[in-house]
Amino acid sequence: MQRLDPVDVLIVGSGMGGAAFAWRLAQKTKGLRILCLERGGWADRAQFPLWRSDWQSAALGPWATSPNLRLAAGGNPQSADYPIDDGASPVKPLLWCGVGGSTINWNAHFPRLRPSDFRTRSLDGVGDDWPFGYDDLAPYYDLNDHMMGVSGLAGDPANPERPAREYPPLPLGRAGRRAGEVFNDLGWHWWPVDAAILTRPREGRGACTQCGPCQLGCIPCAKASTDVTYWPEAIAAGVELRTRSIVTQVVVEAGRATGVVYSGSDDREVFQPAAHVVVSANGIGTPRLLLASGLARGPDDPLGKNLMFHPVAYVRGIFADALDGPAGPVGCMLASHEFAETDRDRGFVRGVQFQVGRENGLLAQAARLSPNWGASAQAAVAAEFRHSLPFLIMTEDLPEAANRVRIGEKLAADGLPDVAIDYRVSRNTSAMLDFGIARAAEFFKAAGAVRTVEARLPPYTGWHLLGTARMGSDPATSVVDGRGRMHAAPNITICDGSVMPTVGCVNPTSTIGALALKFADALAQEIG
Amino acid sequence: MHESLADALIPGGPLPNGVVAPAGSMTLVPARLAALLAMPEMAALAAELEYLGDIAGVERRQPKAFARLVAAALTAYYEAPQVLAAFGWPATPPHPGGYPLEPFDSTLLEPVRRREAFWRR
Repeated sequence: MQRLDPVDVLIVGSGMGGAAFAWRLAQKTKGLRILCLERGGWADRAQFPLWRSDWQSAALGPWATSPNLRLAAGGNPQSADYPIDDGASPVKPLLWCGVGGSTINWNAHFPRLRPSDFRTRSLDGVGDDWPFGYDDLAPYYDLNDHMMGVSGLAGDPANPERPAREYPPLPLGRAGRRAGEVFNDLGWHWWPVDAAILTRPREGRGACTQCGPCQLGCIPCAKASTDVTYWPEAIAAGVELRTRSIVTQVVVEAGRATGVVYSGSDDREVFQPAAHVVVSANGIGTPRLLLASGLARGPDDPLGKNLMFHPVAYVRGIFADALDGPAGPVGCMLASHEFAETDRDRGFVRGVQFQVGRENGLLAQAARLSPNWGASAQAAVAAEFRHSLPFLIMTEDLPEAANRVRIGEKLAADGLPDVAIDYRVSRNTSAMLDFGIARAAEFFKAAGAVRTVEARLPPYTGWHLLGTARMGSDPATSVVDGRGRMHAAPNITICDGSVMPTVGCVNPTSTIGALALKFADALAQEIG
Repeated sequence: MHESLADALIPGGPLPNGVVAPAGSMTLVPARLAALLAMPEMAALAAELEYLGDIAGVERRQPKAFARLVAAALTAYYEAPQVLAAFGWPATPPHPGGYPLEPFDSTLLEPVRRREAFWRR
């Protein structure tokens, strides 16, 4: 096997974690050779479907958010997907494999964890405390916000104070106004979301046009993705990004990584020596690679375990009057944190977040009906399209060892072992879903909805792949320490959602970026 | 047969909220169904659908193939410009035009701003 010239730091994966880490390390050090290996290629916005009249069917096929659905539709050349056996999970994982990772097809809701989310064991007797607290991460949240470009409003009483947002909030539209008024009538908290979406142009990026389906990729780059935020600056600072490079093994000798084996677009395997390895391949890809590299320290090692998703339910209210239809960023309008902190009288511990979002396109609305053909189905489409308001209940998942990522004995086409997930919804989470659905019913009653439609645990909602290489102070119960370093091999840093020991009830990407910046500072202090 | 099948799946006509939708046969749905039912793996479904007697029964007996058929019909129908127009939505793709929305009105937040901070340390 060919042995390439060594590098100082090698990063696997170019998504939120890998990109932020690469940029920060390059900023804080001089003369280091930093290399990122990315299994996919650069996003080609000329090929994104939102230019085309078939964009709706693209979203159900080669541009679906699930890699399995994309592969079933013949694959998408822009995402170097691998199949995930998700038959033992009601929640199906969603991700993207290219430069930018899943920030290419995410919805860019950008909240932060709250202080209590870092202390669930101390405060509520569940989960585990993080090795550090909110205040330690806050400066990195601020920096990450600046790099990504965040619209929103400061002053939210449900969260610690934060600097003024650099861009004004996204429009709420008629639907959002209605929702805000109802929250006010109920006396429940709500706030326009922090969104990693520009509402005014910024150098090289346009402002949001409210075109709707962010998950199909943002052509004007209003939605932040790391291919247009961190990567241009990281590359200008000297980081090398090598695409179409699939890492199949982290090589470890005597408890330290010596480099990685990867195959490039010619399918030839090479050895890339590195003094330090950073793995940022998401909550499934990271444990897959590290388990395949023999980095589990026995059967009780938490590597691959404690998979968390934030299980959700949707309730859609149908209204007699017309709302906005599928206009505006689909996942970013407003959120309520009224029930985000623990109140044991509710029958569960920890909390739920509510998000009011925007409608899907006409085809998606028609296809999800049951039955979805015949006169009654078509009447239902007419009654719902531009007349419905989706209310999302997002629960805080808690770590359970049985929820996990595991690898098989056979190799997949990409040269790594087959990967599968086992996941079940806990009793606590189930109680949260019930609670949230009941609150949604109250909401829509107050809003004057004609009727509601409920979807408990819709499968294709596994955006957040978390917890599978948990961080902690005790090596016996954690995979990495508070600097992201593996207990099994301290010159390996893990830098993505897999390190989160608990996950709050909010979208995690802002936290993943902040963690990456913090971990990069720790490494820079040591080797810079 | 494909026109009749298209209309059975998507009849069109006057619908709630004032929508008057084209029948399935007035769009590309029949052509899409014909192409799909000509595929070898769809032969059993095509044979059952030939007389259009009991479509719900066919769905029960061949759920996977029938779901594929309906998906093809819905796609051809709900992406058709005249259908989008009938449902009150522009036929042009979302980019580059986007859509106008009522701007954010911060006065709505006044009751929330009056609350004390309620997150836990």
